Amino acid sequence: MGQLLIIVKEYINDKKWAILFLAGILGLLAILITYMLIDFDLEAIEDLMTYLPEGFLDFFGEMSDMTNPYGFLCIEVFSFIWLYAGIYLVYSASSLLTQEIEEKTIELSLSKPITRNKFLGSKIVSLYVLITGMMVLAFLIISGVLASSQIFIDEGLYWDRLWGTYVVVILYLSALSMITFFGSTVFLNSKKAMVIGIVALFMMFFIDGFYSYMEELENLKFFTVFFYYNPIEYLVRGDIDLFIRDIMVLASVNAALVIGSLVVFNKQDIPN
Amino acid sequence: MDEKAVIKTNALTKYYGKSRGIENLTFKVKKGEIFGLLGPNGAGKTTTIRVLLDLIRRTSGEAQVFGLDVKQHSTEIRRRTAYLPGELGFYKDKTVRKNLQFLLRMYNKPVPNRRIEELAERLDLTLDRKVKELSKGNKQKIGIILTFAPETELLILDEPTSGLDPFITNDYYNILYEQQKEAGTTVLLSSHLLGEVEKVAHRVGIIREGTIVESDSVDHLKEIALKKVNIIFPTTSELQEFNSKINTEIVDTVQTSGTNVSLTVSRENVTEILDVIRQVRNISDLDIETPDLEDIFMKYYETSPSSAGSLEKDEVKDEEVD
Repeated sequence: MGQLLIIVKEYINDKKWAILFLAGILGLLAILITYMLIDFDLEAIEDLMTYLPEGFLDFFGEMSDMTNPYGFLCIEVFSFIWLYAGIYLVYSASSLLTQEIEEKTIELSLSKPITRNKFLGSKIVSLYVLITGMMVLAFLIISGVLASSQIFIDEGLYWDRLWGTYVVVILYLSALSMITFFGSTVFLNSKKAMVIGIVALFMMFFIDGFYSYMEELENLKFFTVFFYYNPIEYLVRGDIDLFIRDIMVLASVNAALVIGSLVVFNKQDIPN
Repeated sequence: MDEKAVIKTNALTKYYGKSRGIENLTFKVKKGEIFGLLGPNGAGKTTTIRVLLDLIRRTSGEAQVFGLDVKQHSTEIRRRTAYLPGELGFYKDKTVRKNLQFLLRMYNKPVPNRRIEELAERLDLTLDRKVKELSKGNKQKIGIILTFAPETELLILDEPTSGLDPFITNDYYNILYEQQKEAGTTVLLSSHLLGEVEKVAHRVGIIREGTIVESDSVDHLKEIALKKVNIIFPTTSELQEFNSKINTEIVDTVQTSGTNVSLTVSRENVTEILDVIRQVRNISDLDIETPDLEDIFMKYYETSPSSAGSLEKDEVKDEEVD
């Protein structure tokens, strides 16, 4: 356990500024949105929606939720969190193990009395701590912003929904990162892992966005992480069933990727 | 498993896909000895070491360290082993001290700071500089500290003096000697610098194309190796007389130049050569050389793999005999 904590502590210490920076960006975004909402006449937007063609509203799906401050927050922050934080996390996951290989530090680390499971486990824990740390900080900033915003106070402060959404956000971002990390244990190469992570990310985004227009490919949606991430449903509508389903699926995806990474890494020759 | 053998391999083979790393490699390192693994780049030295440390997995054969299988008990083996890789990688943005502390904390037993400071001072290494600011030689010094700071029973050193200047190399071998003498540490040392290995190793294994072709003490290798007899005669007539009397059966190679003759013969046949010299009576100079490890090593690399296992005289019979 000691060795695992030493590695995690070292990694988080190296990444502390990145955690603060990204959490700060998400917080600033929330502040910006809150200020935007002050000048927005949400009722007028709702009226406008009634004049828009049905097909147009179907295409942009969640646009009707813009008339709700939580919906607006979801669309602007949570729906695109894969873009704000996900790409950075995919990059971090691609280099977490492979940097040790490419810079040859793994040779010294693994020649010490540490099992491969513990070594790789420490990398995986580091990734989860990085994501959780970032999201906890962002949660605290956004909570502060909501608590001081009259619009959200008037709408009602749903802390349980917000907290629940963050749990799903953590699992969702972890799953996206773990796909890349799993790729890095297979190829032991940061560039290949990065390509896998980014291609998977955008493919899942497009499948999730356009599956309703491609009947023959519709079933692919079940294989995308995006399908199990529905912040508007939890935060705006409080859909607890969907929340539980998504938590279960995303947790299973994470578990499968963690186990897969450990199994693959244990079979690998460490490149020289 | 021989109880006194710290490292023992039997028909150890490692293939990287279709290319050979090591093949049927069998050798033994006894407790408390310094064993030199000799061979040029690509011979399989690093592959052998990396299999022993479970950094790569063998294709077939057996490998044991401390009587434990290298795959099943790799953590226990590494707990008792310090390793200096041939190519060192450090966390470049951290200081030397941070690197050492981080890596040495991986051992369950803490390494005293005093020991690190002491070694750094001896090697003239500043601990509070970032690794990225250091020269190759100074980075190698960090590796040396990492090897000698923890108390371990086995040192595995892959090309340990690469990049070091002669002074530091000397310091390095002094530290190695001390450690080996005081703690009876077993050392597996891989190198292509034969002169260095000759100075420190009790026994050597010559590795060629992934296989150990000879494994013996340095002294014994020298003993069984051919002696070189150099004779200078005052005139060519004495030289011709000498050549006519010599039994060509006992001579491995002969080279003549003017009134000089150089012969290589086995140790037991040197006396017969001296008898012939006595018969000729008149010589200007006589010198009998024992080959150094480099000469012995080169013999194995001059010959085909099938004949590389011995130093028999017929290996080099093709040279001119006057």
